[in-house]
Amino acid sequence: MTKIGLEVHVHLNTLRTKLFCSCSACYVGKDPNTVTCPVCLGLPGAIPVLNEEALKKAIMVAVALNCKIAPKLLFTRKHYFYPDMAKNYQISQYDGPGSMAIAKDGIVNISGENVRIRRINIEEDPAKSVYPTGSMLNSNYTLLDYNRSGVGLLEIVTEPDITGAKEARIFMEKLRSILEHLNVCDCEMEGSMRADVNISVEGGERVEVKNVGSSKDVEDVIKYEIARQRAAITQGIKILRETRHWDNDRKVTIPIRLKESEEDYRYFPDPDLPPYEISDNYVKAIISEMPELPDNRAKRFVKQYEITEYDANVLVMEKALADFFEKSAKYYNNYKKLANLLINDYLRWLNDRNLKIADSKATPESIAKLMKMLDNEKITIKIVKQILPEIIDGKDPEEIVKERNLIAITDRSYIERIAREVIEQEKEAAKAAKNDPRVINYLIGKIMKKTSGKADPIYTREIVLQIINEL
Amino acid sequence: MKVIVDDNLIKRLERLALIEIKDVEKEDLKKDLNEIIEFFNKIDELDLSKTEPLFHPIESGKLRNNVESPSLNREEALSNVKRKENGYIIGPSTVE
Ligand SMILES: [Zn+2]
Repeated sequence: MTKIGLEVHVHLNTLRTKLFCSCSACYVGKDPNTVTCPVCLGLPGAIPVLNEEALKKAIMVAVALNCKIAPKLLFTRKHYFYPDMAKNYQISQYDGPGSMAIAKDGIVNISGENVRIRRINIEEDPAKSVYPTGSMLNSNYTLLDYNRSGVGLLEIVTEPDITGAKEARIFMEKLRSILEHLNVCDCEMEGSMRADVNISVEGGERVEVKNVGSSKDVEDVIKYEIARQRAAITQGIKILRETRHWDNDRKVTIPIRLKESEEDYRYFPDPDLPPYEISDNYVKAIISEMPELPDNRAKRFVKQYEITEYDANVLVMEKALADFFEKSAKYYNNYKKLANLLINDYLRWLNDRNLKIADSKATPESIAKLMKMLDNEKITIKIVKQILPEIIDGKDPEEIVKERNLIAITDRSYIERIAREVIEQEKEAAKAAKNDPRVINYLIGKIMKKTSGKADPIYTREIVLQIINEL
Repeated sequence: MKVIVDDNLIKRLERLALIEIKDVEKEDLKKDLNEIIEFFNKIDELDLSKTEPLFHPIESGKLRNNVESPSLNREEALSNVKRKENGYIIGPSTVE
């Protein structure tokens, strides 16, 4: 059986400051090495002090993932020599003497299946390595930017309970939605959610693919690795334990040999960071301030808007989409139709173009106007789909319809005239249509084409059926 | 835990500390290590079965508010750095 485990690193990028110092956590786009201080540069004698907000966010995530929360906050030094960590250890957490993870033993439900969470650690991010050739594999030196050094991370580790590429993707998306609902992470930011993916197939050892940047890439990595590992085993080649790197351009994984081996991190409790008690009351106070989580929001959507469970779950998988649905629902009250448009047309159109919800300039008012024009039979569903991209571009639906004269044709005698013209040209099809509903749709399509999608679809169908019956 | 000071240990320490130890230094180092370990072994003479391990002399730490304060400017931050390029620190390659 295929076993997949994920180690997800989440940037605490909604915090104002880094984890242990008061440098800004917002390092993206800043000149290299301009957001540092003695603590995040790792200068001797500098004392780290934890950001209180980071602890609160970690506890919220632990609660959302149904974990047990540690009674004490304890930090560990994880030692290694690497140019991205000047003090030669990372402040992290570890289960060992005098040390423990902030949370463990959680569960996340992914479409009916439970994925166990082994633990959650709070840790600091290392500096950013930039490679002069663009790739770590053929650069003979590394350029270091310490702006990222010391930014807070949560490391969320699952048990190897995931069985396929798609499940892994859904897990990542659900986790992302939880993090966004809790305002723990602005996951739109590049590199804000990275995963190390562990994959083993039957008859092989565990292979780790490091630093995968998105849920789509996690899915691609797993598909690739399962195929590669299975093919190797079929050919009698052994799959040994190794670390690989995901080449996003070529969509392949390649083995990497890192200079630092993992065998001996020499963990010990960080003497700079005395323990901090996490009392039940402290946790209770945080829970009472927690925002609504996606699962609860989906349940509320089913109750409040009477949409299907399926639609509700799709909407809450992306916080921005769920927010847009609720805002639009203030202006338009056929919620089922609204959910349908947002999921099947709006979201799909954006996804097909690799755009994010945040890229859309559509307003809740314009979506409501569009749907009302459809309900009032001012425009046809064809026109709705046709002009949706322009509404996403920020245009007003009423203006588009007026400017381009897209108002639905409801004049029966006009539609009948067009229908008779089409059927005259399509005599064979018209005969066949008597016994084959697909051919009726073909004829309706022809009429729609002639009227640029404006003929009222219900009238058109009635008229076509009537003419065919006369034949 | 009994630690045996031998060539294997020296080799391991050499690798962990990323330093090269010359053969002439090895014997001196073994002698020093043995003395250090012996010194710490004094603790084993005490009955500590009823003593909880102490990891921090201070019972409870403090937390910091999530409020920014100014960072160092780049000249200050990089004043100890020998090799630089366009505001970056130059470090060694990280793959073999
Ligand atoms: Zn700092």
